This record gives sequence, structure tokens and C-alpha cells, in this order.
Amino acid sequence: MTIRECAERLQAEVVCGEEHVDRPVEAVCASDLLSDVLATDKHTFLLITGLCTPQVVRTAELMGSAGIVFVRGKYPPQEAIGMAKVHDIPLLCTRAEMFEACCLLANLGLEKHAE
Amino acid sequence: MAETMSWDTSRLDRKDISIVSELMYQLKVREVMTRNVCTVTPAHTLRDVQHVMRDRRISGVPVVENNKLVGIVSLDDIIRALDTGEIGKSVDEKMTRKVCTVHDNVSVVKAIDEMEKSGFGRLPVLDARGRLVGILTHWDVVRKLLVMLQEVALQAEQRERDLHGTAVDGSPGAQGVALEFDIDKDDFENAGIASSTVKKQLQSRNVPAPIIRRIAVAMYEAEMNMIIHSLGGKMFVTIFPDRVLVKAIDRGPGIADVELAMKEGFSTASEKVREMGFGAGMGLSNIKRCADRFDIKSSLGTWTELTIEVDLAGTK
Ligand SMILES: Nc1ncnc2c1ncn2[C@@H]1O[C@H](COP(=O)(O)OP(=O)(O)OP(=O)(O)O)[C@@H](O)[C@H]1O
Ligand SMILES: [Mg+2]
Repeated sequence: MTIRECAERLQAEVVCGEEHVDRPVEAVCASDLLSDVLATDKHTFLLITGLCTPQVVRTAELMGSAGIVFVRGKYPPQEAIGMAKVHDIPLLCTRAEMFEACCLLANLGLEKHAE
Repeated sequence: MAETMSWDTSRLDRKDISIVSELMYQLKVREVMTRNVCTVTPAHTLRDVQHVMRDRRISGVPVVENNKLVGIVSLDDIIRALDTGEIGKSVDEKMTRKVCTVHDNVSVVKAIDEMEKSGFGRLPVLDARGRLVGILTHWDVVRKLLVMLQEVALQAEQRERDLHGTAVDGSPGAQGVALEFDIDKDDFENAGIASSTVKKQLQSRNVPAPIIRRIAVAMYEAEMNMIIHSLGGKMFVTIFPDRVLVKAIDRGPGIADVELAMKEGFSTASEKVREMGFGAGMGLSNIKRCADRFDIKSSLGTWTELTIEVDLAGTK
């Protein structure tokens, strides 16, 4: 599974990191709680979240996340995009809600994680 | 001097820019600004200011009264005054009172943004208490970046040499590499910079990714705790050949019941912090889980000290 395939399934806009969309996604972590994300054992995961702050990108960077999906049409602030560019993290935006996005990706055969 | 410098990244090569912008994100204004600020008082004349500008070769002078910044006089003001024959008038009459300033703890990226928005090439720098502590120009930023880029280049060269086995014995020395970070209360903007910097250091030493992640996460949780719960403090990181030692020491208010604070789910975080996705009461236990050795000491009303150690060859 790659970021590109996830983006297509979610009909997501690639905000930045277009050059990294062929990166593999090994797991999905869906949460609005960064405390939870920081405690996951998953690696190279796609982070799905309704939060839209620079801290989300920082958390993804430190966790070695494959990319971030912002749900419900939220668009990340400039500062978050800048940070993502620096750390080569692709950012996606989808109109889908969290649950919907998870179902779409689960159907794609990804490991699901929602707490 | 280049007063209108553009940081438009699209015209430059991505790889070069990523180093520069990374440096700028991590750099705070106080590390770059010129500290010895030359100031005048409202009682001085524009003629005095003109002489100061000529002697010190500067194009703007802050006006200070009772330790407070009250205005600024620019080269434009002086030229205009020379034109209209008002050069003998007092600073008080002619200075610009609405001064665009920056705080010393914001990132250089933000300060440059501010410069571009306001159109001012020099910004007086204020500390948390509103005192004038420096002045920032594009030139300060460029100078610092050049020095840092040189360091990056030297480090890359060194790494290259180590890789090719030309180093004397390849060991980084028994006493290790020491890093120090200031962590300010409520400074969400810079949250995670200490962790990110250490992560990069470890990556350049080819430490396995899962071990780096444990160190980065433990540090980030400790950083967030200091930003959210403490009055501010410092992080001391020592990278030894076989382990990383992190000491996070803050100035209080301390923790009343450490055992309770360690319990998963216990949190005193505010609603605002929860909205940001923190405050689940999981941080301390996560730090403990990530660390090979962990210790927390606290004295109510005075300080909290975390000791985190992670072995670089760990299998945890
Ligand atoms: N440096 C500190 N100074 C004062 N109190 C602290 C400090 N660190 C932690 N605490 C107290 O311990 C509690 C638990 O900390 P912990 O990191 O486990 O959870 P949290 O920060 O509240 O939430 P999370 O880490 O999940 O975002 C905090 O809510 C706070 O009351
Ligand atoms: Mg915490």
C-alpha cells in the first residue's frame, strides 16, 4: 500500500510532499489524541487525524510516520506545511470524516487502528 | 546591504533550501540578533541620531525612555529632516512611535515573515518582560546562517571521513557530545525542536531508527510537559558512544504526588491543551516505557527533574 493509493481512495488533495507519494504505508493510526499517537507501537504508519496543528507534523516527524491525512476538509496552517516540507512528510486533505476515511482504508486492506 | 531579501523557496534547489529552512526553523531570534543595541532618548536631536548612524554605520536607531522602547528613528526620517531643515528638532517630535517588534524567543522564520509583512528591515527585539534586548536585521540572519552552513558542511565532511575509516580510532570520545536546550513555558511554537535536533544528531551517527524513535518520543513528551505544566526549564542531552542521557530540569511548580502523576490517565492539563491533542495523562508512562532507565524527582513549589537514559544498542 502506498500513500498515492491511499490518497486516491480518499479522494484527497496532496498539499505537499508529492514526490514522496510512492512511499509504502505499513499501518494506519487514526486519532485526535497526539498522546495516543506517541504511544503507538506501529511503524511507518499513515496518521489520520482531525487535528490541524504544527504539533501534528512534529509528532509525525518524531514517530517516523509515512504521511498525514487531515479529515473533514481541514487545511493545515502554513507553519505546519513548512515543517512537513522540511521533514519530507506528505500531507493529504480529504473531505471524508474520520470514520469514513478509516473504512475506506480498511477496505484497501490496511491494518486499522482507532481508539 | 540587502534590505529586501526574498525567501521565496520555489526558485531554489529543494535540497539546499531544506537545510537552510531547517536551520531557520530551529534558530531563535535571540541566537541571531545583535545584542549591543545603540539607542537614543527622546530628548536627543535628530542631528545626534545622524551622527550615531554615521559613526556606527546603521540605518535605524531605537528610542528608549525609562528602559522602555518608545519609538524608532530611521535613515529615511533623517534624510527627510535634512531636506526640510528640521534636523535640529528633538527625536521626540519626529520619531515613529508605532514600532514593529519581535520577541527574542520566536523563530527566525517568523521574524523574517514579520519583516516582509511590515516592510521594515530592522526589528527591535524584546524579551518576555518587554525590555529591549537586541535588534534584528536581514544581515544578522544571513551572517548566522553562513556560519551554521559552514558547520553543517564541516560535519558532513567529518562524517564522510569517519565512514571511510580515516579517523584515528572512530570513537567519538568517552565524555560524549553535550547539547543544551532552553524550554519556555507555553512556547508551543518551538515545541519539539530539542527532540528533533537530537534525532538528527543520532541519525547522522547511524543509530538504528527504532532506538532513535524511543529517544525522540521520550524527549518530546518531556518537552511538552515542561511547556504545558512547568514554568520553563532546560534540557541537557549527552550522547555517549553507548547511550543517550537526557536530564529535563524545570523551575517548578513541581508535582505534589509523583506516583499519582505517573498513573496513566491522570492529568491536570487545561481544556486548551486537550484541544491540541495533549493532556491524556499518558506522557510520563510513555517516557518510562521508551527509556531503558527512568527517574523522576520533584519538589513541590520548586522543581521537577526527569532523568531518561536509552542504550544505543538496546533491544527493548
Ligand atoms: N514538569 C512538570 N511540572 C509540573 N507538573 C508536571 C510536570 N510533568 C507532569 N506534571 C504533572 O503530571 C501529570 C501527568 O503528566 P503526563 O505527562 O503523564 O500527562 P499529561 O501531560 O497531563 O498528558 P499527556 O502527556 O498525555 O499529553 C500532568 O498532568 C501534570 O499534572
Ligand atoms: Mg505530558
